[in-house]
Amino acid sequence: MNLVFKSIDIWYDDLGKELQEEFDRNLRYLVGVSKSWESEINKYCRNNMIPDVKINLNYQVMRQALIDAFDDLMRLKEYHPTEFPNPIKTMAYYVYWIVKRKPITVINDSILEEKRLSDTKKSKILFCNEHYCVQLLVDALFPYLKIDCANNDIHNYANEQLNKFKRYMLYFLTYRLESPKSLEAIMLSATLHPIWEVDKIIWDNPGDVFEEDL
Amino acid sequence: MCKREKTAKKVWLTNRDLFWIIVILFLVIVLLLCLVISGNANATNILSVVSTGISIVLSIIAIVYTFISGIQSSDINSETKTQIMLLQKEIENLKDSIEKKIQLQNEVGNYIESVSPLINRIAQNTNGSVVIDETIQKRAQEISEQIRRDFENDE
Repeated sequence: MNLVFKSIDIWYDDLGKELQEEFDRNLRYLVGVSKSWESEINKYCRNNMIPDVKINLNYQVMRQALIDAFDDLMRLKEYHPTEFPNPIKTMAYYVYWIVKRKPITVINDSILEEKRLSDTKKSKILFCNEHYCVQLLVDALFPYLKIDCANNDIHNYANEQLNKFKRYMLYFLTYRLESPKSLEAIMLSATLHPIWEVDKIIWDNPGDVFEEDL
Repeated sequence: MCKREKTAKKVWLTNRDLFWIIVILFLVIVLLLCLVISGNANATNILSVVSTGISIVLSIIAIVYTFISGIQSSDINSETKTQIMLLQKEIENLKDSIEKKIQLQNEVGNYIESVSPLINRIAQNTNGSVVIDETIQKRAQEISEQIRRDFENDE
């Protein structure tokens, strides 16, 4: 068996202009969200007089995770040609590869001995890549999360359920993730509710489901 | 009318008046004592006994006063000591935070230096298009709120 590692630059050049733009846009988004993750957690720490969490984002590893995800998605596209990519499917692949590559590292692990941090918060810092990916998943699922439901009680209840779902997703990404397909299935099933609007592309052209049932 | 009443109340008895009243009363007492004692042959003995008694009472008052003031000063000392210790701790904390800030500043400086070539590289890869995408920035800001809520939530 002859294993050859392809040069990243050659891979990038072979993409073509459109995909290169898509790749750069996604990479900037992933890096931006990781910075938001760090700053929000440190805001909490500063407000509670806890030392800052110092993380290191390995840019090249993040890039590699995105390359792997792109490779998988392009291979899929060869078999199932689609005009518009499903954002849930693409995010499932990004998250799968980010969890596998783990581009984020906590530098000052002594923060995990901090008594003022609860066990849940410690797990969110310890499994920083997974927690970061939970935010990516929720953002991909509900890009219009800010739109409130007409009924506040239902909205509050839904928010509570969403928090529980996020906690389950953290557990799933940490211990149960085996393939992007399983992640995609969970994410799709999470959109089956009338509270927050989902991207129309997700359930686009399902066919006449009533006819299928008959 | 009211003003006059107020001013009358204010100047009814000053400290100077009190002083002179006390002096006059004291002189009256001395005069009365002189009149009483002048006919008595044991006046010297009586005076010496009275003065001894007064001196004993005064000495006891002085001892008690010294004792009370000593207790008060020791309390003040201990309070001052604790205050100084607290201040010392505060100063140490401030010193630590300043040192951390300086370290952070240096790290940020180093980080910016290390990041700038990467930014340039991204700029080259995007063929000169805008590096900071506003839509991405907005989405990152929106997601920040979600991250904060999620991290604060301990359920």
